[in-house]
Amino acid sequence: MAVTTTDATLKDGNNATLLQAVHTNPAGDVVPAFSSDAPGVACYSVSILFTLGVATPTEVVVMQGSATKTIRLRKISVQGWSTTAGVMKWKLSRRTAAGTLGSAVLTAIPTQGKNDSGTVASPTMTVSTVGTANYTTVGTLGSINDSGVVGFNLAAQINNTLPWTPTANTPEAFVLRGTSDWLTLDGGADAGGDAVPAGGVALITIHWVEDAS
Amino acid sequence: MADLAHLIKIHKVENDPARQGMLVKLIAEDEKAQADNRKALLAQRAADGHASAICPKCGAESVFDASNKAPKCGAMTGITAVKVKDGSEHNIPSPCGTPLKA
Repeated sequence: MAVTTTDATLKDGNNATLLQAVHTNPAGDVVPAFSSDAPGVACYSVSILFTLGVATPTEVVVMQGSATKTIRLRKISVQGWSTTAGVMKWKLSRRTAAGTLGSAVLTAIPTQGKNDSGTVASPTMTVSTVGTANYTTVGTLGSINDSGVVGFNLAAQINNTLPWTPTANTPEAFVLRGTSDWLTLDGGADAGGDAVPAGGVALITIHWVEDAS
Repeated sequence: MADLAHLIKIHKVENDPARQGMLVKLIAEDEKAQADNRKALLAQRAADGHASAICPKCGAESVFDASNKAPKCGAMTGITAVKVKDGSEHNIPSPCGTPLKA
């Protein structure tokens, strides 16, 4: 006998009828049906194959909060690829000031989109890569939320291609509130001094949700 | 406003005016949130001494120091072929590189 899903009838405080989906397992036990789906929640993702153009980068990716929505970062993943094997230490940092760009140019990743085709397509969070040069002065450091090592290698050696995932589909999301709240992914000079391995490409994926909470 | 007809179709609410109204309301709220956020974002950039520009070639938006005289688009829209030690060739992304003006 397979697990079946039916509706159990519940009554609220006003004796009005509510329906709660339940599963009945082969032993006849009835348990609430848990749904990991979140209908109505605006979920977004962005992904980029980013050639690390600065030899020893400080901030690599900058995520700036929104004035109108609360941002919850559900997944961040960084994986490496390079023409010569090497490793880079990375950090996930919170910044409380924008920093001085100098010659650095932040470019919004243009491929960001909504996971659900439901309503409109544009998120309010801005995710940018840092190119041309490092920041003259990085933004004021509020906290270091996670750190990790990413292996860069052309060869398919699994221990060198494991992604660093400071957060992965967790309800304990990193939160951004307001346009003066930033999270950054930092490499090299800002995380212990590793230069980018020759031909280094970072494969970066970020998932988040936005709501008005 | 977003493509309402498309949204009505994918939500299968062609015959449900009440839910169509809800969609219109949600879209309007989202668009207002985006417009308000955009205004705040530009104010924040100005306060930080930053300027921004849309790349005339690829359409990506870049932010740079207001004093930067020669910013270039950093969107990874290009492709560069690299040859590695074992002789194999691989394509890696490279920046758009188009000069920007604030």
